[in-house]
Amino acid sequence: MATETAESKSFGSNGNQMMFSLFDTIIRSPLNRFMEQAVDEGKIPIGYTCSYIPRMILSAKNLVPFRVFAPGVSSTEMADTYLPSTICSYTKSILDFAINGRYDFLKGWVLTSSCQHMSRFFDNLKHTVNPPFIKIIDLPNRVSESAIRWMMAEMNELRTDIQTHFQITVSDEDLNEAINRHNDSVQLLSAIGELRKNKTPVISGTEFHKLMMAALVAPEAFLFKPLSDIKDALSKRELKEDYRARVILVGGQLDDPAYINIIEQSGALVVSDRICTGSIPGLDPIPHGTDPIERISAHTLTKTSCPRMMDNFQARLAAIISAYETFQADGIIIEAIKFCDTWGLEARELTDSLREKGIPVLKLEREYRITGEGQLKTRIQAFIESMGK
Amino acid sequence: MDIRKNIRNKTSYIFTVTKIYLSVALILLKRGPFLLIDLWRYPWLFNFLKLYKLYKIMNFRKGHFKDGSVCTLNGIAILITNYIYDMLKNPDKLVLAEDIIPPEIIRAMGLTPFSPEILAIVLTIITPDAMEKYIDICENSGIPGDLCSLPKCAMGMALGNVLPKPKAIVASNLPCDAGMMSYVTIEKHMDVPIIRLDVPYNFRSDRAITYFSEELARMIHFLEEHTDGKMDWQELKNILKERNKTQETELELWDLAKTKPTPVASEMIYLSHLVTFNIFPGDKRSTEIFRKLIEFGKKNLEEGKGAIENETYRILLWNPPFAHFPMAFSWAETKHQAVLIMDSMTFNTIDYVDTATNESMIKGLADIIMQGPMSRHVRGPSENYFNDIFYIHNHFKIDMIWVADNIGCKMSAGLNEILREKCRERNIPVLVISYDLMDQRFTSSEDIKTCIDNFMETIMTGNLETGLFDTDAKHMISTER
Repeated sequence: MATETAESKSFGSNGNQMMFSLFDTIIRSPLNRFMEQAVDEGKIPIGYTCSYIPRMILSAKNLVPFRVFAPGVSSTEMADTYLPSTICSYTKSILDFAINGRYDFLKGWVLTSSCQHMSRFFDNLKHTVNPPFIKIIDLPNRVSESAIRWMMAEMNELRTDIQTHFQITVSDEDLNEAINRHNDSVQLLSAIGELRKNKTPVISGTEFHKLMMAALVAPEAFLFKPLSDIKDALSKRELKEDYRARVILVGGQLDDPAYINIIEQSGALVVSDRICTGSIPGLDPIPHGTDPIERISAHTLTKTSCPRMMDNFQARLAAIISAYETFQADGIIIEAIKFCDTWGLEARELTDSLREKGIPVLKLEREYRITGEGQLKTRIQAFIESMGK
Repeated sequence: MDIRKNIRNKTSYIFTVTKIYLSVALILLKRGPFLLIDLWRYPWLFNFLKLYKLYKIMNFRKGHFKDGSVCTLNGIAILITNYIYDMLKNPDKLVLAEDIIPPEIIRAMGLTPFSPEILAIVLTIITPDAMEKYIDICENSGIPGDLCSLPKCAMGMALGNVLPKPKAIVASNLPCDAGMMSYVTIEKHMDVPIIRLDVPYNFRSDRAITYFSEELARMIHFLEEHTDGKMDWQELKNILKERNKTQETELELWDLAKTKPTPVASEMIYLSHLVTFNIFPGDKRSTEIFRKLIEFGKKNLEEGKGAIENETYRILLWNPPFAHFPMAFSWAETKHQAVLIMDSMTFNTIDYVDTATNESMIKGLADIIMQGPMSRHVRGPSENYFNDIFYIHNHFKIDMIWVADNIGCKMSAGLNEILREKCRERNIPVLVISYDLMDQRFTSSEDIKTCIDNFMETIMTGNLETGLFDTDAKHMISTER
């Protein structure tokens, strides 16, 4: 209900919001109708948890990648048995869903050592659920030539393990095809995302995030048409400037558009997002090249910009400032899930550095599932007022 | 008799402490009048000078075990004093090295390594509240309170401007995300060139050793570029040869600890390792400490005595010891006849370093860093963690496992339940003690004692009526939040 209200408020209740109902349905539950259809067709859905896991390999041949999320999670009793209260609530939520069989449609899991919470998720998932195929990618904490070589070895190992376990052959040609599909998909999403640069954007942050999330949890092939339709429909959409400030959202794992909706309901339009499931830098296409493994490895390692990459703080800061300028934002909202060590510290340093440059910043700590909506609105409203908007 | 014994004990304590203070003074007074400036700039030096508090351990100990404990404390006091003295004396050669970075290469380059984390641990062991001020500085600056307090100490000391400004910083992705991220804050505040070493998650492969050896080569190049240091391979060889000797001697000490009752225990094992291998590896003084400890152990063995009378329970401590409660083990010996045999920070299975070539030395050091205590337990799959626990349990005839559940260590806490289940299968009693590594305000020493008392009374001695506790509860006592 809250989602519809915000969309209506920003873009008129002319029925345009109905165009997103398909995407609402897709992200309502882990097993969406497109994924169900893919499973029925004999596809192999593989769950993954992090932007550093290359979807392209998991979408080659008849594989289907599924970015693991826990929509509608209300409590995590089962996971709480295994994980302490100081583990981030995203980790606990997906472990709880896994133990409760909500991901049973997945034929395998590919995880990564992106952070310590995820590393222990791997251990506890293996201990509790013990999926038939589970693999953890050893991800370097630096971007360098030797790190890319390391990543290539990891990718080759992943390909071999997939081939052996699922009895399929994933050729270079298959990977190149998957890369092309990926590039087509991100170019389409990028084109829609570009519309957010307009002074009066025809798409809200909430709506855009629905598209992004749907693209991460449903098979690519099923989404080209609906995304193209959305793109066309947006060109005819009625414009209405009904926000007080333009903000950029920065943070880690955020897969619930309702969180962005609360921000927008409070008067701050999210015009760009540097989050794990967002547009920066998630929508960069993979450059051309010959060796698909090398292309995938270099792209994955260099384009994703998580605080876990030790040497890249300045680059991350520069990317945020660049987005702030390009999207003509008024301020930046940094959100981090409580107990996330990397984002917890990064948020502090980003806040200081951005404020030193005179950019208004609001730092929010949150749980994976939405809690304290009233307090959140109050803080957003106070932030908007502090910017003189 | 008691009065005479008390006087004798007090005289012995005063004599020992006076002697060590004289030795410490002889080193620090070499700074001359600069010492006064040092005391003003680095107020934590006052905490260090409260060294006498640590010697209270003597009051709990008898015979050769007491001699061994004093020998450990003396060795530590002298090594730490030298460590601090070198830091004060050589500002132009100072390299701030995160705690997990072994100092061998830095020393071989003619530079002075200095770790704020090690300093924080040592100061907290001496004065339990030493770091509270710096933890508060850190948290008040906006850094999340739920991070491990060890990096919070390092950041707090940097933000509080009580660390000397180094010429360069060497950090890494070890031991944990908080430790890794803390150097973003430290680097920004100190504005000093920094290099960060990348240790793979799966470090037990030739590929990992090659990758990390390249990282160490990068570090040498970085230090040559940003400091006056120059790699002296012969010096590195000398250091590593001595390191091998220290390691060999320590293994002899561990062999003694396998005996039941153990002739060596507690500080003789965990504190000696903590200081020697982290601060002065490859130093003759470190080897000498272990040699002396072996002598005391052998005397106990020859006399058919254990370190403590009536050894009843043998403890494996998992995760870092309670820095702010160093008396925990002497208390447990007295109250429960429970003796610390081994701990996760000490135990390792690292090979001797092959000193034949420059390449082999770097590979050996790469292996040491990756397989060092804590490094190998918080990285990689949980097998790294459990295999060590159950190996130590068998090898050292352990009766119970105490998990020091540092509230900020999410990596360890994320395995507690699996550990419980695995221990239940093997019928090994396990106690999870929730505490904060560097901050006694979270769990006081009294709370830790109560937790241990409850466990010992209900689980180990079974004093309460059966039926009050079901079999599952037998393994589930903890102070968990």
